[in-house]
Amino acid sequence: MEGETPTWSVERIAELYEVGNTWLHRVHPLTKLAAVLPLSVAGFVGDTVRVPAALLIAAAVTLLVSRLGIIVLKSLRLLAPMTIALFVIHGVVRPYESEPIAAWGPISINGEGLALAGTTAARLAVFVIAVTAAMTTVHPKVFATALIQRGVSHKLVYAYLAGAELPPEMKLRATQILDAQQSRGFDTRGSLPRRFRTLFALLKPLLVSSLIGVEMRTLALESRGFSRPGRRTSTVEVEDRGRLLQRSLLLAAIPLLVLAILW
Amino acid sequence: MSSRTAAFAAFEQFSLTYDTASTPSLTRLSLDLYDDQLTLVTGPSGSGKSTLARVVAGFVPQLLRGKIEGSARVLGHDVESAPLHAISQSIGIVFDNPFDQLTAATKTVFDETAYALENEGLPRVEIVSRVREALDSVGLAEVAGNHPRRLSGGQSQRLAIACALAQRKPILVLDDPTSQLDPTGTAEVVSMVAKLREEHTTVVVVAQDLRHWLGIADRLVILDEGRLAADGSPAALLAEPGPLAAKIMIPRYVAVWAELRGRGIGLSDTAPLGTDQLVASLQASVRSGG
Repeated sequence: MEGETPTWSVERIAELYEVGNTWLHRVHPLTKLAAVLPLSVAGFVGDTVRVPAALLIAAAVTLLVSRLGIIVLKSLRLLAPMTIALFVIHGVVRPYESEPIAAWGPISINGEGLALAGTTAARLAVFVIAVTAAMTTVHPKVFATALIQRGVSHKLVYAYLAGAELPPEMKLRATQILDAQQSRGFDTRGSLPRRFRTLFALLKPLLVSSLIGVEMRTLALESRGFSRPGRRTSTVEVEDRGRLLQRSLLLAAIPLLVLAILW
Repeated sequence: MSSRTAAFAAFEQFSLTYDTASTPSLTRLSLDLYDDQLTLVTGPSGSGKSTLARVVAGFVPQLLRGKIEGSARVLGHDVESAPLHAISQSIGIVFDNPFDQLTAATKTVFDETAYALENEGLPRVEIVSRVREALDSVGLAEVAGNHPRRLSGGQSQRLAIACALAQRKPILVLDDPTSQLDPTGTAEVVSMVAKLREEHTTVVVVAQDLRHWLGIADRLVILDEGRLAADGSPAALLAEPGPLAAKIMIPRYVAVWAELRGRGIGLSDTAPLGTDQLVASLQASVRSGG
Protein backbone atom coordinates (compact mmCIF):
# COMPACT_ATOMS: atom_id res chain seq x y z
CA MET A 1 0.00 0.00 0.00
CA GLU A 2 3.03 2.22 0.11
CA GLY A 3 5.02 3.67 -2.72
CA GLU A 4 6.33 6.77 -4.36
CA THR A 5 4.25 9.89 -4.04
CA PRO A 6 2.68 10.64 -7.43
CA THR A 7 2.94 14.05 -9.10
CA TRP A 8 0.23 16.67 -8.59
CA SER A 9 -2.72 16.42 -10.97
CA VAL A 10 -6.47 17.04 -11.15
CA GLU A 11 -7.02 13.26 -11.13
CA ARG A 12 -4.90 12.95 -8.00
CA ILE A 13 -7.00 15.55 -6.19
CA ALA A 14 -10.21 13.80 -7.34
CA GLU A 15 -9.08 10.36 -6.10
CA LEU A 16 -9.66 9.93 -2.38
CA TYR A 17 -6.84 7.58 -1.33
CA GLU A 18 -3.30 8.97 -1.36
CA VAL A 19 -0.29 6.63 -1.31
CA GLY A 20 2.19 7.52 1.42
CA ASN A 21 3.92 6.59 4.67
CA THR A 22 3.37 9.62 6.90
CA TRP A 23 2.51 9.40 10.61
CA LEU A 24 -1.15 9.83 9.65
CA HIS A 25 -0.94 6.89 7.24
CA ARG A 26 0.39 4.76 10.10
CA VAL A 27 -2.47 5.56 12.50
CA HIS A 28 -5.02 2.71 12.71
CA PRO A 29 -7.87 3.37 10.22
CA LEU A 30 -10.56 3.15 12.90
CA THR A 31 -8.67 5.58 15.18
CA LYS A 32 -8.76 8.12 12.35
CA LEU A 33 -12.44 7.43 11.83
CA ALA A 34 -13.15 7.74 15.57
CA ALA A 35 -11.34 11.09 15.68
CA VAL A 36 -13.76 12.53 13.13
CA LEU A 37 -16.60 12.60 15.70
CA PRO A 38 -15.03 14.71 18.51
CA LEU A 39 -13.35 17.01 15.96
CA SER A 40 -16.63 17.63 14.15
CA VAL A 41 -18.51 18.22 17.43
CA ALA A 42 -15.74 20.56 18.63
CA GLY A 43 -16.45 22.75 15.60
CA PHE A 44 -19.84 23.56 17.13
CA VAL A 45 -18.44 24.79 20.46
CA GLY A 46 -19.18 28.52 20.82
CA ASP A 47 -21.53 30.50 18.64
CA THR A 48 -18.87 32.25 16.55
CA VAL A 49 -16.38 31.26 13.89
CA ARG A 50 -13.46 31.35 16.37
CA VAL A 51 -13.37 27.70 17.51
CA PRO A 52 -13.93 26.06 14.09
CA ALA A 53 -11.48 28.55 12.53
CA ALA A 54 -8.84 27.72 15.15
CA LEU A 55 -9.38 24.01 14.50
CA LEU A 56 -9.07 24.56 10.76
CA ILE A 57 -5.85 26.54 11.10
CA ALA A 58 -4.40 23.88 13.41
CA ALA A 59 -5.43 21.11 11.00
CA ALA A 60 -4.06 22.92 7.95
CA VAL A 61 -0.71 23.67 9.63
CA THR A 62 -0.40 20.10 10.90
CA LEU A 63 -1.17 18.68 7.46
CA LEU A 64 1.21 21.04 5.66
CA VAL A 65 4.02 20.34 8.12
CA SER A 66 3.35 16.60 7.66
CA ARG A 67 3.65 17.06 3.86
CA LEU A 68 -0.03 16.21 3.48
CA GLY A 69 -1.08 19.45 1.80
CA ILE A 70 -2.95 17.33 -0.78
CA ILE A 71 -5.60 16.72 1.90
CA VAL A 72 -6.21 20.47 2.16
CA LEU A 73 -6.61 20.64 -1.64
CA LYS A 74 -8.95 17.65 -1.73
CA SER A 75 -11.03 19.24 1.05
CA LEU A 76 -11.13 22.59 -0.74
CA ARG A 77 -12.37 20.86 -3.88
CA LEU A 78 -15.27 19.40 -1.90
CA LEU A 79 -15.92 22.56 0.11
CA ALA A 80 -15.71 25.23 -2.58
CA PRO A 81 -19.19 24.80 -4.11
CA MET A 82 -20.85 24.38 -0.69
CA THR A 83 -19.07 27.44 0.75
CA ILE A 84 -20.03 29.61 -2.23
CA ALA A 85 -23.65 28.46 -1.93
CA LEU A 86 -23.66 29.22 1.82
CA PHE A 87 -22.33 32.75 1.31
CA VAL A 88 -24.82 33.47 -1.48
CA ILE A 89 -27.78 32.10 0.51
CA HIS A 90 -26.94 33.70 3.86
CA GLY A 91 -25.17 36.84 2.67
CA VAL A 92 -27.31 37.84 -0.30
CA VAL A 93 -30.56 35.91 -0.66
CA ARG A 94 -31.81 35.50 2.90
CA PRO A 95 -33.45 38.67 4.33
CA TYR A 96 -32.21 40.12 7.68
CA GLU A 97 -33.51 42.91 9.91
CA SER A 98 -30.06 44.53 10.31
CA GLU A 99 -28.71 47.11 7.86
CA PRO A 100 -26.82 45.70 4.83
CA ILE A 101 -23.09 46.48 4.64
CA ALA A 102 -23.30 47.05 0.87
CA ALA A 103 -26.09 47.32 -1.70
CA TRP A 104 -26.27 47.47 -5.51
CA GLY A 105 -29.85 48.04 -6.58
CA PRO A 106 -31.94 45.03 -5.52
CA ILE A 107 -28.83 43.12 -4.40
CA SER A 108 -27.59 43.73 -0.85
CA ILE A 109 -24.96 42.04 1.30
CA ASN A 110 -25.75 41.51 4.95
CA GLY A 111 -22.98 41.31 7.57
CA GLU A 112 -25.02 39.12 9.90
CA GLY A 113 -25.62 36.71 7.03
CA LEU A 114 -21.94 36.65 6.09
CA ALA A 115 -20.98 35.85 9.69
CA LEU A 116 -23.49 33.01 9.83
CA ALA A 117 -22.29 31.70 6.46
CA GLY A 118 -18.67 31.89 7.64
CA THR A 119 -19.39 30.01 10.87
CA THR A 120 -21.44 27.33 9.10
CA ALA A 121 -18.79 26.93 6.37
CA ALA A 122 -16.01 26.65 8.96
CA ARG A 123 -17.94 23.97 10.91
CA LEU A 124 -18.59 22.09 7.69
CA ALA A 125 -14.91 22.45 6.76
CA VAL A 126 -13.79 20.91 10.07
CA PHE A 127 -15.93 17.84 9.35
CA VAL A 128 -14.86 17.59 5.69
CA ILE A 129 -11.15 17.98 6.45
CA ALA A 130 -11.36 15.38 9.24
CA VAL A 131 -13.11 12.84 7.00
CA THR A 132 -10.81 13.60 4.07
CA ALA A 133 -7.72 13.24 6.24
CA ALA A 134 -8.99 9.89 7.51
CA MET A 135 -9.99 8.52 4.11
CA THR A 136 -7.04 9.93 2.17
CA THR A 137 -4.50 8.18 4.36
CA VAL A 138 -6.04 4.71 4.42
CA HIS A 139 -6.29 2.37 1.47
CA PRO A 140 -9.96 1.37 0.98
CA LYS A 141 -9.08 -2.30 1.28
CA VAL A 142 -7.24 -1.73 4.58
CA PHE A 143 -10.21 0.24 5.87
CA ALA A 144 -12.63 -2.48 4.75
CA THR A 145 -10.52 -5.17 6.41
CA ALA A 146 -10.37 -3.17 9.67
CA LEU A 147 -14.14 -2.74 9.65
CA ILE A 148 -14.79 -6.45 8.99
CA GLN A 149 -12.34 -7.34 11.79
CA ARG A 150 -14.56 -5.37 14.17
CA GLY A 151 -17.67 -7.21 13.06
CA VAL A 152 -19.11 -4.79 10.50
CA SER A 153 -21.19 -6.64 7.89
CA HIS A 154 -19.20 -7.39 4.72
CA LYS A 155 -22.26 -6.31 2.73
CA LEU A 156 -22.11 -2.86 4.31
CA VAL A 157 -18.38 -2.73 3.63
CA TYR A 158 -19.02 -3.69 0.01
CA ALA A 159 -21.51 -0.81 -0.25
CA TYR A 160 -18.80 1.58 0.99
CA LEU A 161 -16.18 0.25 -1.44
CA ALA A 162 -18.58 0.17 -4.40
CA GLY A 163 -19.81 3.66 -3.50
CA ALA A 164 -16.26 4.97 -3.66
CA GLU A 165 -15.84 3.42 -7.12
CA LEU A 166 -19.22 4.65 -8.40
CA PRO A 167 -18.27 8.12 -9.73
CA PRO A 168 -15.39 6.93 -11.96
CA GLU A 169 -17.48 3.98 -13.09
CA MET A 170 -20.42 6.17 -14.10
CA LYS A 171 -18.00 8.51 -15.85
CA LEU A 172 -16.55 5.58 -17.82
CA ARG A 173 -20.04 4.32 -18.73
CA ALA A 174 -21.14 7.81 -19.84
CA THR A 175 -17.98 8.21 -21.93
CA GLN A 176 -18.60 4.85 -23.62
CA ILE A 177 -22.20 5.82 -24.47
CA LEU A 178 -21.15 9.26 -25.68
CA ASP A 179 -18.41 7.76 -27.86
CA ALA A 180 -20.91 5.31 -29.33
CA GLN A 181 -23.41 8.10 -30.04
CA GLN A 182 -20.77 10.38 -31.54
CA SER A 183 -19.53 7.57 -33.79
CA ARG A 184 -23.10 7.40 -35.17
CA GLY A 185 -23.02 11.09 -36.05
CA PHE A 186 -24.58 12.49 -32.88
CA ASP A 187 -23.39 16.11 -32.57
CA THR A 188 -22.59 17.05 -28.98
CA ARG A 189 -21.14 20.49 -29.71
CA GLY A 190 -22.85 23.81 -30.25
CA SER A 191 -25.34 25.94 -28.35
CA LEU A 192 -26.55 25.45 -24.78
CA PRO A 193 -29.98 24.03 -25.83
CA ARG A 194 -28.19 21.55 -28.08
CA ARG A 195 -25.89 20.51 -25.22
CA PHE A 196 -28.95 20.00 -22.99
CA ARG A 197 -30.49 17.78 -25.66
CA THR A 198 -27.23 15.82 -25.68
CA LEU A 199 -27.42 15.43 -21.92
CA PHE A 200 -30.96 14.05 -22.08
CA ALA A 201 -30.01 11.74 -24.94
CA LEU A 202 -27.22 10.42 -22.74
CA LEU A 203 -29.29 9.96 -19.59
CA LYS A 204 -31.67 7.28 -20.87
CA PRO A 205 -29.06 4.78 -22.11
CA LEU A 206 -26.95 5.56 -19.05
CA LEU A 207 -29.84 4.69 -16.74
CA VAL A 208 -30.82 1.56 -18.67
CA SER A 209 -27.26 0.26 -18.93
CA SER A 210 -26.71 0.95 -15.22
CA LEU A 211 -29.83 -1.02 -14.30
CA ILE A 212 -28.82 -3.96 -16.49
CA GLY A 213 -25.34 -3.70 -15.03
CA VAL A 214 -26.68 -3.95 -11.50
CA GLU A 215 -28.48 -7.22 -12.29
CA MET A 216 -25.41 -8.73 -13.91
CA ARG A 217 -23.19 -7.55 -11.07
CA THR A 218 -25.52 -9.13 -8.53
CA LEU A 219 -25.27 -12.47 -10.32
CA ALA A 220 -21.49 -12.16 -10.69
CA LEU A 221 -21.07 -11.31 -7.01
CA GLU A 222 -23.20 -14.25 -5.94
CA SER A 223 -21.13 -16.49 -8.17
CA ARG A 224 -18.15 -15.31 -6.11
CA GLY A 225 -19.68 -16.14 -2.78
CA PHE A 226 -20.99 -12.70 -1.82
CA SER A 227 -23.80 -14.13 0.34
CA ARG A 228 -21.86 -17.18 1.39
CA PRO A 229 -22.16 -17.72 5.14
CA GLY A 230 -19.05 -18.03 7.30
CA ARG A 231 -15.77 -16.33 8.13
CA ARG A 232 -13.99 -14.14 5.59
CA THR A 233 -10.33 -13.41 5.17
CA SER A 234 -8.37 -10.62 3.53
CA THR A 235 -5.18 -10.42 1.51
CA VAL A 236 -4.08 -7.43 3.57
CA GLU A 237 -3.02 -7.68 7.19
CA VAL A 238 -4.34 -5.00 9.55
CA GLU A 239 -3.12 -5.15 13.12
CA ASP A 240 -6.12 -4.96 15.44
CA ARG A 241 -4.96 -2.23 17.85
CA GLY A 242 -5.99 1.07 19.43
CA ARG A 243 -9.34 -0.05 20.80
CA LEU A 244 -8.92 1.99 24.00
CA LEU A 245 -7.90 5.13 22.10
CA GLN A 246 -10.80 4.72 19.70
CA ARG A 247 -13.29 4.36 22.56
CA SER A 248 -11.75 7.37 24.31
CA LEU A 249 -12.09 9.49 21.17
CA LEU A 250 -15.72 8.50 20.78
CA LEU A 251 -16.38 9.25 24.46
CA ALA A 252 -14.61 12.62 24.16
CA ALA A 253 -17.40 13.68 21.84
CA ILE A 254 -19.89 13.63 24.77
CA PRO A 255 -18.43 16.51 26.88
CA LEU A 256 -17.76 18.46 23.68
CA LEU A 257 -21.38 18.00 22.70
CA VAL A 258 -22.52 19.23 26.12
CA LEU A 259 -20.18 22.22 25.77
CA ALA A 260 -21.49 22.95 22.27
CA ILE A 261 -25.09 22.90 23.53
CA LEU A 262 -24.42 25.02 26.62
CA TRP A 263 -21.98 27.57 25.06
CA MET B 1 -14.56 -35.37 -29.83
CA SER B 2 -14.26 -36.33 -26.18
CA SER B 3 -16.02 -39.48 -25.10
CA ARG B 4 -19.11 -38.93 -22.98
CA THR B 5 -18.53 -39.00 -19.27
CA ALA B 6 -20.89 -38.33 -16.38
CA ALA B 7 -23.60 -35.71 -16.74
CA PHE B 8 -23.09 -32.74 -14.40
CA ALA B 9 -26.45 -31.24 -15.34
CA ALA B 10 -29.65 -33.08 -16.19
CA PHE B 11 -32.84 -31.40 -17.40
CA GLU B 12 -35.99 -33.49 -17.48
CA GLN B 13 -39.07 -31.95 -19.12
CA PHE B 14 -37.91 -28.69 -17.57
CA SER B 15 -40.02 -25.58 -18.12
CA LEU B 16 -39.36 -22.14 -16.66
CA THR B 17 -41.41 -18.96 -16.77
CA TYR B 18 -39.76 -16.01 -15.03
CA ASP B 19 -41.98 -14.10 -12.61
CA THR B 20 -41.39 -11.03 -14.74
CA ALA B 21 -42.47 -12.72 -18.00
CA SER B 22 -45.74 -14.03 -19.40
CA THR B 23 -44.26 -16.65 -21.73
CA PRO B 24 -41.90 -19.49 -20.78
CA SER B 25 -38.18 -19.05 -21.42
CA LEU B 26 -37.60 -22.82 -21.47
CA THR B 27 -40.27 -25.36 -22.45
CA ARG B 28 -40.18 -29.08 -21.65
CA LEU B 29 -36.43 -29.20 -22.09
CA SER B 30 -34.77 -32.58 -21.70
CA LEU B 31 -31.02 -32.37 -21.95
CA ASP B 32 -27.90 -33.71 -20.24
CA LEU B 33 -24.64 -31.75 -20.08
CA TYR B 34 -21.48 -33.82 -19.68
CA ASP B 35 -18.19 -33.41 -17.89
CA ASP B 36 -15.00 -32.89 -19.88
CA GLN B 37 -16.73 -31.48 -22.94
CA LEU B 38 -17.17 -28.10 -24.54
CA THR B 39 -20.89 -27.86 -25.18
CA LEU B 40 -21.79 -25.04 -27.54
CA VAL B 41 -25.35 -23.78 -27.10
CA THR B 42 -26.86 -21.62 -29.81
CA GLY B 43 -30.19 -20.46 -31.16
CA PRO B 44 -31.96 -17.29 -32.21
CA SER B 45 -32.54 -14.39 -29.82
CA GLY B 46 -35.05 -15.32 -27.12
CA SER B 47 -34.49 -19.04 -27.60
CA GLY B 48 -33.58 -19.56 -23.94
CA LYS B 49 -29.79 -19.88 -24.28
CA SER B 50 -28.92 -17.43 -21.51
CA THR B 51 -31.67 -18.82 -19.30
CA LEU B 52 -30.14 -22.27 -19.68
CA ALA B 53 -26.76 -20.80 -18.63
CA ARG B 54 -28.35 -19.14 -15.59
CA VAL B 55 -30.08 -22.36 -14.50
CA VAL B 56 -26.81 -24.29 -14.82
CA ALA B 57 -25.02 -21.60 -12.78
CA GLY B 58 -27.60 -22.03 -9.99
CA PHE B 59 -29.18 -18.56 -10.27
CA VAL B 60 -32.67 -19.91 -11.01
CA PRO B 61 -34.85 -19.81 -8.99
CA GLN B 62 -32.73 -18.54 -6.04
CA LEU B 63 -31.93 -15.13 -7.53
CA LEU B 64 -34.03 -15.07 -10.69
CA ARG B 65 -37.43 -16.28 -9.60
CA GLY B 66 -39.87 -18.10 -11.79
CA LYS B 67 -42.38 -20.91 -12.11
CA ILE B 68 -40.71 -24.26 -12.70
CA GLU B 69 -42.15 -27.50 -14.07
CA GLY B 70 -40.22 -30.71 -14.56
CA SER B 71 -36.80 -31.01 -12.96
CA ALA B 72 -33.24 -29.78 -13.35
CA ARG B 73 -30.36 -31.25 -11.38
CA VAL B 74 -26.93 -29.63 -11.38
CA LEU B 75 -24.03 -31.44 -9.71
CA GLY B 76 -26.62 -33.71 -8.13
CA HIS B 77 -28.56 -30.81 -6.60
CA ASP B 78 -32.17 -30.07 -7.46
CA VAL B 79 -31.98 -26.41 -8.57
CA GLU B 80 -35.31 -25.65 -6.90
CA SER B 81 -34.11 -26.54 -3.42
CA ALA B 82 -30.31 -26.27 -3.52
CA PRO B 83 -28.68 -23.24 -1.87
CA LEU B 84 -26.95 -21.07 -4.46
CA HIS B 85 -23.44 -21.61 -3.14
CA ALA B 86 -23.84 -25.41 -3.38
CA ILE B 87 -23.81 -24.97 -7.15
CA SER B 88 -21.85 -21.74 -7.56
CA GLN B 89 -18.84 -23.07 -5.66
CA SER B 90 -18.22 -25.52 -8.51
CA ILE B 91 -19.54 -23.63 -11.52
CA GLY B 92 -18.10 -20.33 -12.68
CA ILE B 93 -19.94 -18.02 -15.03
CA VAL B 94 -18.67 -15.37 -17.41
CA PHE B 95 -21.21 -12.92 -18.84
CA ASP B 96 -21.32 -11.02 -22.11
CA ASN B 97 -20.52 -7.60 -20.65
CA PRO B 98 -16.85 -7.53 -19.71
CA PHE B 99 -17.17 -4.71 -17.18
CA ASP B 100 -20.50 -5.21 -15.39
CA GLN B 101 -19.38 -8.56 -14.03
CA LEU B 102 -16.53 -6.99 -12.08
CA THR B 103 -17.18 -6.40 -8.39
CA ALA B 104 -16.67 -2.62 -8.78
CA ALA B 105 -15.24 -2.66 -5.27
CA THR B 106 -11.57 -3.39 -5.91
CA LYS B 107 -8.66 -1.26 -7.02
CA THR B 108 -6.45 -3.91 -8.59
CA VAL B 109 -6.76 -6.94 -10.84
CA PHE B 110 -5.13 -8.94 -8.04
CA ASP B 111 -7.80 -7.91 -5.50
CA GLU B 112 -10.57 -8.60 -8.02
CA THR B 113 -9.31 -12.16 -8.47
CA ALA B 114 -8.87 -12.60 -4.73
CA TYR B 115 -12.40 -11.38 -3.87
CA ALA B 116 -14.12 -14.78 -4.07
CA LEU B 117 -11.30 -16.50 -2.19
CA GLU B 118 -11.58 -13.97 0.64
CA ASN B 119 -15.31 -14.71 0.78
CA GLU B 120 -14.43 -18.40 1.11
CA GLY B 121 -12.28 -17.57 4.13
CA LEU B 122 -9.11 -19.13 2.72
CA PRO B 123 -5.76 -18.40 4.42
CA ARG B 124 -3.86 -15.38 3.01
CA VAL B 125 -0.94 -17.46 1.75
CA GLU B 126 -3.23 -19.74 -0.21
CA ILE B 127 -5.17 -16.81 -1.69
CA VAL B 128 -1.98 -15.16 -2.92
CA SER B 129 -0.72 -18.40 -4.42
CA ARG B 130 -4.01 -19.21 -6.17
CA VAL B 131 -4.46 -15.68 -7.52
CA ARG B 132 -0.94 -15.63 -8.95
CA GLU B 133 -1.49 -19.02 -10.55
CA ALA B 134 -4.87 -18.01 -12.04
CA LEU B 135 -3.61 -14.68 -13.40
CA ASP B 136 -0.57 -16.40 -14.83
CA SER B 137 -2.71 -18.98 -16.61
CA VAL B 138 -4.85 -16.33 -18.31
CA GLY B 139 -1.87 -14.14 -19.13
CA LEU B 140 -2.75 -11.26 -16.83
CA ALA B 141 0.08 -11.58 -14.29
CA GLU B 142 1.77 -8.47 -15.65
CA VAL B 143 -1.28 -6.28 -15.06
CA ALA B 144 -2.06 -7.63 -11.57
CA GLY B 145 -1.49 -4.19 -10.05
CA ASN B 146 -3.64 -2.31 -12.60
CA HIS B 147 -7.13 -1.04 -11.89
CA PRO B 148 -9.69 -3.49 -13.37
CA ARG B 149 -11.35 -0.57 -15.17
CA ARG B 150 -8.18 -0.02 -17.19
CA LEU B 151 -8.33 -3.48 -18.82
CA SER B 152 -9.50 -3.99 -22.39
CA GLY B 153 -12.68 -5.99 -23.05
CA GLY B 154 -10.74 -9.16 -23.84
CA GLN B 155 -8.57 -8.76 -20.75
CA SER B 156 -11.68 -8.22 -18.60
CA GLN B 157 -13.21 -11.44 -19.88
CA ARG B 158 -9.97 -13.26 -19.14
CA LEU B 159 -10.05 -11.73 -15.67
CA ALA B 160 -13.56 -13.11 -15.15
CA ILE B 161 -12.24 -16.53 -16.20
CA ALA B 162 -9.28 -16.10 -13.83
CA CYS B 163 -11.69 -15.43 -10.95
CA ALA B 164 -13.37 -18.77 -11.63
CA LEU B 165 -10.04 -20.55 -12.04
CA ALA B 166 -8.75 -19.15 -8.75
CA GLN B 167 -11.79 -20.68 -7.09
CA ARG B 168 -10.77 -23.99 -8.71
CA LYS B 169 -14.17 -24.32 -10.32
CA PRO B 170 -14.13 -27.37 -12.57
CA ILE B 171 -16.98 -26.15 -14.76
CA LEU B 172 -17.20 -22.86 -16.66
CA VAL B 173 -20.33 -21.39 -18.22
CA LEU B 174 -19.60 -18.63 -20.72
CA ASP B 175 -22.67 -16.63 -21.70
CA ASP B 176 -21.92 -15.02 -25.06
CA PRO B 177 -18.46 -14.04 -23.81
CA THR B 178 -17.25 -12.50 -27.07
CA SER B 179 -20.39 -10.66 -28.22
CA GLN B 180 -19.07 -7.29 -27.01
CA LEU B 181 -15.43 -7.80 -27.94
CA ASP B 182 -13.38 -6.71 -30.92
CA PRO B 183 -11.55 -9.36 -33.00
CA THR B 184 -8.42 -9.15 -30.83
CA GLY B 185 -10.41 -9.58 -27.61
CA THR B 186 -12.40 -12.43 -29.16
CA ALA B 187 -9.22 -14.23 -30.20
CA GLU B 188 -7.80 -13.82 -26.69
CA VAL B 189 -10.86 -15.38 -25.05
CA VAL B 190 -11.27 -18.23 -27.55
CA SER B 191 -7.60 -19.15 -27.26
CA MET B 192 -7.89 -19.05 -23.46
CA VAL B 193 -10.88 -21.40 -23.54
CA ALA B 194 -9.09 -23.73 -25.97
CA LYS B 195 -6.22 -23.92 -23.48
CA LEU B 196 -8.64 -24.75 -20.67
CA ARG B 197 -10.13 -27.52 -22.77
CA GLU B 198 -6.67 -29.02 -23.23
CA GLU B 199 -6.56 -29.16 -19.44
CA HIS B 200 -9.97 -30.93 -19.45
CA THR B 201 -12.00 -28.11 -17.93
CA THR B 202 -15.70 -28.64 -18.61
CA VAL B 203 -17.07 -25.68 -20.56
CA VAL B 204 -20.53 -24.60 -21.69
CA VAL B 205 -20.43 -21.75 -24.21
CA VAL B 206 -23.58 -19.87 -25.15
CA ALA B 207 -23.07 -18.03 -28.44
CA GLN B 208 -24.99 -16.77 -31.43
CA ASP B 209 -21.92 -16.36 -33.56
CA LEU B 210 -20.57 -19.90 -33.90
CA ARG B 211 -17.56 -19.34 -36.12
CA HIS B 212 -14.97 -18.93 -33.34
CA TRP B 213 -16.18 -21.83 -31.23
CA LEU B 214 -16.90 -24.67 -33.66
CA GLY B 215 -13.24 -25.62 -33.91
CA ILE B 216 -13.05 -26.44 -30.21
CA ALA B 217 -16.63 -27.57 -29.54
CA ASP B 218 -17.38 -31.20 -28.80
CA ARG B 219 -21.12 -30.85 -29.04
CA LEU B 220 -23.65 -28.42 -30.47
CA VAL B 221 -27.03 -27.82 -28.82
CA ILE B 222 -29.56 -25.69 -30.70
CA LEU B 223 -32.48 -24.14 -28.85
CA ASP B 224 -35.50 -22.55 -30.46
CA GLU B 225 -38.33 -20.85 -28.57
CA GLY B 226 -37.15 -22.45 -25.36
CA ARG B 227 -37.19 -25.96 -26.78
CA LEU B 228 -34.41 -28.32 -27.78
CA ALA B 229 -34.27 -28.12 -31.58
CA ALA B 230 -31.12 -30.13 -32.26
CA ASP B 231 -28.30 -31.81 -30.37
CA GLY B 232 -25.26 -33.55 -31.80
CA SER B 233 -21.77 -33.19 -33.16
CA PRO B 234 -21.17 -29.74 -34.70
CA ALA B 235 -19.94 -31.16 -38.03
CA ALA B 236 -22.93 -33.46 -38.45
CA LEU B 237 -25.52 -30.90 -37.39
CA LEU B 238 -24.14 -28.15 -39.61
CA ALA B 239 -23.88 -30.54 -42.56
CA GLU B 240 -27.65 -30.84 -42.60
CA PRO B 241 -29.16 -28.05 -40.52
CA GLY B 242 -32.53 -28.25 -42.30
CA PRO B 243 -34.98 -25.47 -41.38
CA LEU B 244 -32.69 -24.39 -38.51
CA ALA B 245 -30.32 -22.91 -41.10
CA ALA B 246 -32.54 -19.83 -41.20
CA LYS B 247 -32.50 -19.45 -37.43
CA ILE B 248 -28.86 -19.84 -36.48
CA MET B 249 -25.79 -18.00 -37.71
CA ILE B 250 -24.15 -20.51 -40.02
CA PRO B 251 -20.47 -19.55 -40.34
CA ARG B 252 -19.41 -18.44 -43.81
CA TYR B 253 -16.94 -21.32 -44.21
CA VAL B 254 -19.81 -23.79 -43.65
CA ALA B 255 -22.06 -21.89 -46.06
CA VAL B 256 -19.32 -21.94 -48.75
CA TRP B 257 -18.77 -25.68 -48.17
CA ALA B 258 -22.52 -26.35 -48.51
CA GLU B 259 -22.73 -24.22 -51.68
CA LEU B 260 -19.78 -25.97 -53.31
CA ARG B 261 -21.15 -29.40 -52.43
CA GLY B 262 -24.51 -28.35 -53.82
CA ARG B 263 -22.76 -27.59 -57.10
CA GLY B 264 -21.31 -31.06 -57.21
CA ILE B 265 -17.79 -30.38 -55.98
CA GLY B 266 -16.57 -33.39 -54.05
CA LEU B 267 -15.83 -32.12 -50.57
CA SER B 268 -15.84 -33.98 -47.25
CA ASP B 269 -19.18 -35.29 -45.99
CA THR B 270 -18.99 -33.47 -42.69
CA ALA B 271 -19.11 -29.70 -42.44
CA PRO B 272 -15.79 -27.93 -41.85
CA LEU B 273 -15.37 -26.49 -38.34
CA GLY B 274 -13.04 -23.73 -39.42
CA THR B 275 -11.60 -22.05 -42.50
CA ASP B 276 -8.54 -24.29 -42.34
CA GLN B 277 -10.72 -27.40 -42.56
CA LEU B 278 -12.54 -25.96 -45.57
CA VAL B 279 -9.23 -25.21 -47.29
CA ALA B 280 -7.97 -28.71 -46.49
CA SER B 281 -11.14 -30.21 -47.92
CA LEU B 282 -10.80 -28.12 -51.09
CA GLN B 283 -7.14 -29.08 -51.49
CA ALA B 284 -8.04 -32.77 -51.11
CA SER B 285 -10.79 -32.35 -53.69
CA VAL B 286 -8.43 -30.66 -56.17
CA ARG B 287 -5.82 -33.37 -55.66
CA SER B 288 -8.37 -36.09 -56.29
CA GLY B 289 -9.69 -34.26 -59.37
CA GLY B 290 -13.10 -33.73 -57.68
